[in-house]
Amino acid sequence: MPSAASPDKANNLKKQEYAADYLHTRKLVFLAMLASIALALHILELALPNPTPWLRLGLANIITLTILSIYGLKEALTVGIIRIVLGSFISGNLFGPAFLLGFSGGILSIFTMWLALFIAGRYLSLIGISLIGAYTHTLTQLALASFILIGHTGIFFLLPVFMIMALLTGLLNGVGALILTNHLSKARM
Amino acid sequence: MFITLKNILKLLTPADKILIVFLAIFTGFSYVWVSRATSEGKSAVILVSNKVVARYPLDKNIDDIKINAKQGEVHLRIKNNRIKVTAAACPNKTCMGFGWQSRVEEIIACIPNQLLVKITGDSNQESLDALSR
Repeated sequence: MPSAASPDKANNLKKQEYAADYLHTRKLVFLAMLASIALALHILELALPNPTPWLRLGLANIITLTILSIYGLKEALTVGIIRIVLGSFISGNLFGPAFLLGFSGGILSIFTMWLALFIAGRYLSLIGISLIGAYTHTLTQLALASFILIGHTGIFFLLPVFMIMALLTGLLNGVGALILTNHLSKARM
Repeated sequence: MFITLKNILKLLTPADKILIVFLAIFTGFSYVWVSRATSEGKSAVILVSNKVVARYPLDKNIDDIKINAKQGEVHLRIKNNRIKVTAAACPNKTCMGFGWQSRVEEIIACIPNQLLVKITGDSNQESLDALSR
């Protein structure tokens, strides 16, 4: 079959390319927008009054969850890394101990949430996935903090506080992500 | 969609509810576990007439500690992170009846000797400082 022999076929091929390009650009712009929203949420959290430096709402996880459920692992990881690196850069502790904890917790929780979506996505709503992510994030950070940064298990004193916080923020972010994905499903992505 | 408690409950799938209950139980267990694990004392403070006379870390075994109290010598022993009174010069030996003590806030008291052994978790201070930096 001679390729692009007829002008009609060539035209069709071009149209398809255009369409693919259009979709690609759309996705790119959309992901960039979501990344900036995640970054804004990340920084908004830093501005909120907070009794301790470790307890955080993790509102940016709403965006991560949304991207995970709409696109997939690769996109979620990209946006997650962008958000964490830029967020720590702006808050001024890039490559510090807090950044290491946040980064590893964030990446691992994205992987776990993807796995949970992959395995149990039919049964769990985004609230359940969000809870799994919140607990993974918390436990990773605690384990790293106690075994690497301090070399002491003293930090496990705080385990119940962290876990209660993870339960509450997991629920909150899950509801947020459900509402956001519900609204976005009406838009063409 | 307006968020109310009813709406949220409707959004939850059965698996979600199971997960939430499981995680809540997990959290509860962590509380129990931590409250048990962290109450192990680090050192024993010995007071006579409300004055600190000695302080011993509980992780070193000491066979015989002699404390001069109001009515004579009191002998203490530290073994396996626990402390007890082995012998005391007092009429009713209540202090010996306290047995082995090891947890934070536990005490051994001997009223006639005005002796008080308090257990503290003090030696953890450094690690908490490292965390808050």
